[in-house]
Amino acid sequence: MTNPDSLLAALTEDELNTLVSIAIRRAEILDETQSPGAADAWSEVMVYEEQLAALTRPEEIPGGVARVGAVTAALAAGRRGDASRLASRYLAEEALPQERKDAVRRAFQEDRERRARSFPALAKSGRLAELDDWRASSAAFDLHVFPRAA
Amino acid sequence: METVAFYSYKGGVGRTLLVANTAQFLAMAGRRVVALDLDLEAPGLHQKLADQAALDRAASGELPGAVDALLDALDGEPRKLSLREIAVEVDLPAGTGGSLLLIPAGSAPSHAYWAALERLNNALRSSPRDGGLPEAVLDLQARIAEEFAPDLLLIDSRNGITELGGLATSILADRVICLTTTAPESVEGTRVVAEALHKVPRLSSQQPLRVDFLITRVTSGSRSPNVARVVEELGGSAAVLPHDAAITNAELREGGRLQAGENDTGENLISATLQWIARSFQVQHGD
Repeated sequence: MTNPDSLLAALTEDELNTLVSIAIRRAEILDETQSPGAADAWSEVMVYEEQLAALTRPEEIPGGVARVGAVTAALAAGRRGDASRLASRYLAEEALPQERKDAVRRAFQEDRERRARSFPALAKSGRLAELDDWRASSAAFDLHVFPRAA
Repeated sequence: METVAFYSYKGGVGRTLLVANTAQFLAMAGRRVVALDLDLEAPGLHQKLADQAALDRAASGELPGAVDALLDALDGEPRKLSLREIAVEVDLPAGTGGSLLLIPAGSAPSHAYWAALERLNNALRSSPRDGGLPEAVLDLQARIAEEFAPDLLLIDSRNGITELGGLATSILADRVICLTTTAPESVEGTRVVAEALHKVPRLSSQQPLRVDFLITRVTSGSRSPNVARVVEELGGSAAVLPHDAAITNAELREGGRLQAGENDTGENLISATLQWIARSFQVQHGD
């Protein structure tokens, strides 16, 4: 079987741009229709954006857009562990313009605010922020058995 | 509020019955207890604790429960259901100082319940940006603490390896009671899961997770050396509940309302169960 990573690595920046545009439109439509496939669609966007980020420079516009796009797509997919991992990597890049870094931080802030509205008791208990830290440490923790919480 | 999750790797170990009996015993000992059924795929705690009126509502698909509360939280709109509308007050003998509220899974077994469970699974897949199952169950736990302020939240957790079972035993619980029989497949699964539970990250404000073991359905013929071997495999700190051991304690039995399972020799098991609960939760009947 072909390694999916090698397939992805073989794509050019132009091909990835085409794919990501289609994937974003598809994810938006599935989101609007509240389809169970929406999360997977945003995951696909994240994969393309992450690969685009790997191919582009952080200081250039395409590179900045891809980095912010990868993080926001991961959050839209509910893959908050991946979002944290990507954000840590991109925010550590000195060449990434401040406005892009602000956009990454804003994406997390908006995500937290949205969840605080949905889960007011959890937000009031102060454990929402703890949950984000827990996700980050769980993502780094190689658990093959239990639990499977993402 | 202390949260205790009852978990078993395999089914048929008497977990739900033990949750029901522990909840009643602790309430009768003066504790304010909430029993929460998170065994969503095979719920049964209401069958042990609820009165006939609630069971009739479940049969007709009109008993809201944890599934409905989780759905309510995940739809992103203001809450439509109060937990007080969901909680079922469990009757206790007069003069009991404590209280017992049951939050059933829902109207199981009914078509309405399975439809609600399917909607919950779809909601978790379709709107992950609004938060997932970890947010939903932690929010439910926070609402229970806020609305009922119980001393104890007892959770009947799903057996096997599932997302919800993982959350119930890792970030909801302060303590996990793992039940197993002496069957090798049950012991091995329990041991592996417990090893993972000892390693799993916790929320930063939580204490380290306490994991206890309870070996159930032990018949007199299998008590030794089989049980000794199982205790050793589980780390040497497991308690044992007999199936037909000759343990009787009339004083405890008289005060209890505990139930035995269909295949249990009731009196001996009830007595041993009472003793285990009292020891495990450091209470005395009549506290």
